[in-house]
Amino acid sequence: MTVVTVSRRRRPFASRWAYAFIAPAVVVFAVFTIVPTLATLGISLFEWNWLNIGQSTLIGLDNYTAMVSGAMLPSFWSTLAVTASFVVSMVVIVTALGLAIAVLLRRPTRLSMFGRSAIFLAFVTPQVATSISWIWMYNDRFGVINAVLERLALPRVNWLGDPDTALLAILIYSLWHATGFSMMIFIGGLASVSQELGEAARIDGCSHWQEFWYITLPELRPFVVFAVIIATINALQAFTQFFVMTGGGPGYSTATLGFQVYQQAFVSRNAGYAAALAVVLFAITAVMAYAQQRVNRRLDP
Amino acid sequence: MSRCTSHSTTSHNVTTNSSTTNSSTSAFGSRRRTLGVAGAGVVLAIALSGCSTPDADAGSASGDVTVTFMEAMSSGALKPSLEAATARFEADNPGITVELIEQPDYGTLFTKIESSVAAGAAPTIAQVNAAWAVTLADSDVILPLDDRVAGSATYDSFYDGIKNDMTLVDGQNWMWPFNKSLYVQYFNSNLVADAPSTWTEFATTARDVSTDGVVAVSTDPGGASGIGQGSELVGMIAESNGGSMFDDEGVPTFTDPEVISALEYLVGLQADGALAAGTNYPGQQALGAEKGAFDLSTVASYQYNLAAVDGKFEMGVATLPEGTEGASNALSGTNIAMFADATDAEQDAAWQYMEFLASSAETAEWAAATGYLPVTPDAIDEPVYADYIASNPWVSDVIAQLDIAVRPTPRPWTTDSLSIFAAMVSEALAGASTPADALERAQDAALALVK
Repeated sequence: MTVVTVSRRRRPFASRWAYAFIAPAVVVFAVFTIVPTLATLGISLFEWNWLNIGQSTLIGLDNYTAMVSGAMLPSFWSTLAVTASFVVSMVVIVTALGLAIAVLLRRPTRLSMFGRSAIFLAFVTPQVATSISWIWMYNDRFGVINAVLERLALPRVNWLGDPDTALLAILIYSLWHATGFSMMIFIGGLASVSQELGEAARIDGCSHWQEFWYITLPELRPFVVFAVIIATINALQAFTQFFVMTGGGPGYSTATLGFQVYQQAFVSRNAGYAAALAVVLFAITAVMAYAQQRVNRRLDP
Repeated sequence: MSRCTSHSTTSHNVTTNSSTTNSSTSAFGSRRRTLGVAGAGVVLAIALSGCSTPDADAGSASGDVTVTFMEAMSSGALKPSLEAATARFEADNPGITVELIEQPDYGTLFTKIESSVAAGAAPTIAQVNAAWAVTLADSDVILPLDDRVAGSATYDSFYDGIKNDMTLVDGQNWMWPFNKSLYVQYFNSNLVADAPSTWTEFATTARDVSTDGVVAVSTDPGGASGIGQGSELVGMIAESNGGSMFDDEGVPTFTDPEVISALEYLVGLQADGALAAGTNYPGQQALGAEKGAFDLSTVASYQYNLAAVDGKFEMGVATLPEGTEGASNALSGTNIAMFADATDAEQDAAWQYMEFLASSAETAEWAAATGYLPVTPDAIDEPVYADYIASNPWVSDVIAQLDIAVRPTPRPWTTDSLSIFAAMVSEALAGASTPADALERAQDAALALVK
């Protein structure tokens, strides 16, 4: 009898064709993601002149020092605070709202299918176009929202022109736009939840709330973590609505970290400082995504 | 370009060699290799896709020259007017082709200019404003035009304000005038019988007409992304009362008492319901909707305001009210700059085109069609512009201000300072801080930018 020993050790170049086939994706990823990321890291150490790179000066960590000192207007810390309040609000509300709507529309009836489409439609519309539409809806003098408020004998609100309401107005728009995506994640998740567990729980006398809390939600945990991570990343990178609807104002009340990256790079032409902000934004995004995954692993029974 | 050509050749050889070598192998092996070559081809095609731009050489064997002009004259009457002028130039100059590279707005235009320069593919000439010219000149990517200006037949006839607007802080001419405008007051003649002639009178009229849902004036102060008309207004009111937003060295003076007073003037109007801050041309919207009595914007808005009013009432136009020290106006619009990468032949051809656009006949055609102002008084004698003035008598008063119109000589920190100023004006108009506090913060932040 011949014994065949199969080596389980993988050889890195066992299949050159496999590498050839993944090469296009790797090239695209390298050209459009890895190289720009490394370039951004490098540029953040310079006072960068992209019109004439020969005039760029290596200044080490000065861009980071200036950022942390908060000397710029708006300060890094104030943009971080605006970003944090937007991200926390978005993640909590979009996840809860998406889950609630998904539970409500989980049965595939005609009405629920219409509801799903109507809510998801907002997500697939271009943000620039819908942001402009919402500017008109929010218009202080001619907007439909204030017209409704007036009909209800409520005071008019200068939604985008008042520092106290501008961020809230953008949050409402962002929720309208993003909830459809989280709803679809949860509808997918609910389809995979075991029906038997629910039935057994109901036979044992569980209420609908208890069934949701103790059976459905734990089963949905991977989907919740995924939805939270995606919502966090999207909220951290939110730019279009801030750019179109308020331009960071009034004052700097809606100037987020992501908006400041654009502002410094393309308006103030401080490419080095903008790159430093982008590096910090990248680090915050990576840390939060990692932390959320760690929490998920810890909760895993 | 040569690097890309070399890659293309390599790609071709790889395919040829593979085909030849595979002829003696098994069918299976041949399929694998074919797939492999196809995969490699895909990789190369993707890698080379960025090199597929057409030959950028503007000259041709026949000696013809192509001038590329990056501009943002894309809306309304601007586009056909520029295209018609360019066609007339090309007809007069058979060896020169002008390729208009149109951008949708000024923001996109400057981003495209920067990216073109960074990619080593700058246009021959482009529309620029003075602040952009500072960045481009400091980076050695545009050319000073002093030698060409010295030999220009049209330069001497330009309005003084136009001449001043062509220079930067070094005193050299870096730009050539193109689409220039000044602020005016558009008003609803049903609500305002006669245009107010002083800012004091303006405030009284504005308060009087602000009833029954009418808010006399709506304006966009701008913000962090750039200065808007509302913030420009603060500067013009301050200057007409003897104040200034910058000193002779270009250092911001946002806490000048007249600047604070001008912002208080606007905040006071707002508190009395006579002024509203907004975005997206709020003055034009309100005027057109008969919910505003005035729109304080530039002559470039004339055609757009007429369209917004749409014959609902007679729209009056007049020069801006004056302050205690007389009239003040901010010269707006852009100039043309020439890029250093252009060949001598392209530069010469571009200069011919620039001079053509500023000639009295062409600036008259342009101004009559678009509402922008002519850069030389000689245009007034051209029949087309004489007819325009006869139909729009207010234009004569506005043109007269071209000799006194100013803009701050831009320094590297000017644009950012004005953005900070605009953000603080918007904060004050939003009621989040008093004018004095807002301008104090703006001054501190702007001074930190001064190098």
